[in-house]
Amino acid sequence: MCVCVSVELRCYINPSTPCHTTPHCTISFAILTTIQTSFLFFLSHFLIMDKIHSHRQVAVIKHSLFDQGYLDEQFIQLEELQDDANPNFVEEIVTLYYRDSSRLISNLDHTLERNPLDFNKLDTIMHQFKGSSSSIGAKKVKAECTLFREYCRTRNGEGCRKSFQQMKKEYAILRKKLETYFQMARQAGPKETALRPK
Amino acid sequence: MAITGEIFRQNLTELLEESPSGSPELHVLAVDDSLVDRHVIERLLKVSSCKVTVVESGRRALQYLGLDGETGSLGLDSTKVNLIMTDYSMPGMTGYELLKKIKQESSMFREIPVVIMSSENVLTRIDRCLEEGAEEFLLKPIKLSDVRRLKDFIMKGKVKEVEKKSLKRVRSIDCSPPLSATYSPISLPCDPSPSLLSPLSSKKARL
Repeated sequence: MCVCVSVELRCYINPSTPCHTTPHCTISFAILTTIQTSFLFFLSHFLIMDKIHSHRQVAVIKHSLFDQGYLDEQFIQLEELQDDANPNFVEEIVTLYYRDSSRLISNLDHTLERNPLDFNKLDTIMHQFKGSSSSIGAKKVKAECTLFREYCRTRNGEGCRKSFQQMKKEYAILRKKLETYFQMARQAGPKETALRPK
Repeated sequence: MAITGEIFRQNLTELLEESPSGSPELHVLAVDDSLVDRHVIERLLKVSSCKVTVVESGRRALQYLGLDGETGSLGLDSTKVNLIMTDYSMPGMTGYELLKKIKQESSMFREIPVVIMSSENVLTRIDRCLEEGAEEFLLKPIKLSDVRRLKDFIMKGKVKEVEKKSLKRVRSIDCSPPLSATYSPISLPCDPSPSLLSPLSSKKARL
């Protein structure tokens, strides 16, 4: 582009330089224009491909989250509630979930320290926690909650403690994975603009 | 025909609130003690073009409706509720208890359809709620299709109610030609639903 401009300038500065009339100047100008256009074409193509690649990466992460059983259909339901006015609804709900459920977890922690264990209370708290986990589609977390409640029902304190530890692990793993997912999704930007020409 | 259409529209807007766009909107009161679930149900309902009021307890729900005995009904048109969706397990007053309180009302509040939501699939619980007058028992997590189905069902019920009212009003006006049974179709903000699922059959299908 700069080369193009300098050629033009030279023509104007030195009027004796035969420019517009000579075939040589016209050809160079044509070549430069072609290079310019090609450059812009490849740049936009690259940007679109980059966007498609980013979206594909996001899709791969999402697919694996479902494949490996971290998320279930409810997560998709939540995504269906997103629109242009509320593009980050799922991320907002997940953030809310982690904030709100942390107090339930510390409540469970304290209640598990008691002796003897109050299984009814444990079950009640876990029921609430399971409900929220189910609402965001946290499949593995929800499964551990079910196991925990079963141990409560059979008054198995050791079982409760073990499954609680396992649940906390799944809870933490999911958090990390979702953080990565949302970050990548945000970076990739809205799908429509990348893949569909306006 | 034009007169009956106008009366029909008047009656419908009496029963439903007008949205900012001017079309009649369903006002839903949602009751849930879970913060996450409150946000989700609110979004579900908004996406389905309903006006939503969300409260965190049965007590608050009764307060909102003006049924808690302390504040009388303020008679405000803005609190006209067309549907109540309540969670079953809540501390203090359960959804079942809230349902009972509403159905025991002697006023028009008894007419408001109440839907119970629960994450637990307990047959005795479902039966008890339906016996007490719940319109439907929904298993959590609630889906968009559940809300759509509910909305269609409520709107159909409203349309039938309005048809009856319009018939009465037109008869009293005493139009000269005999009244035909069909009315000009009025566009309602809901998807046309071909079938009306009975609550039990829909729940049994899920079990």
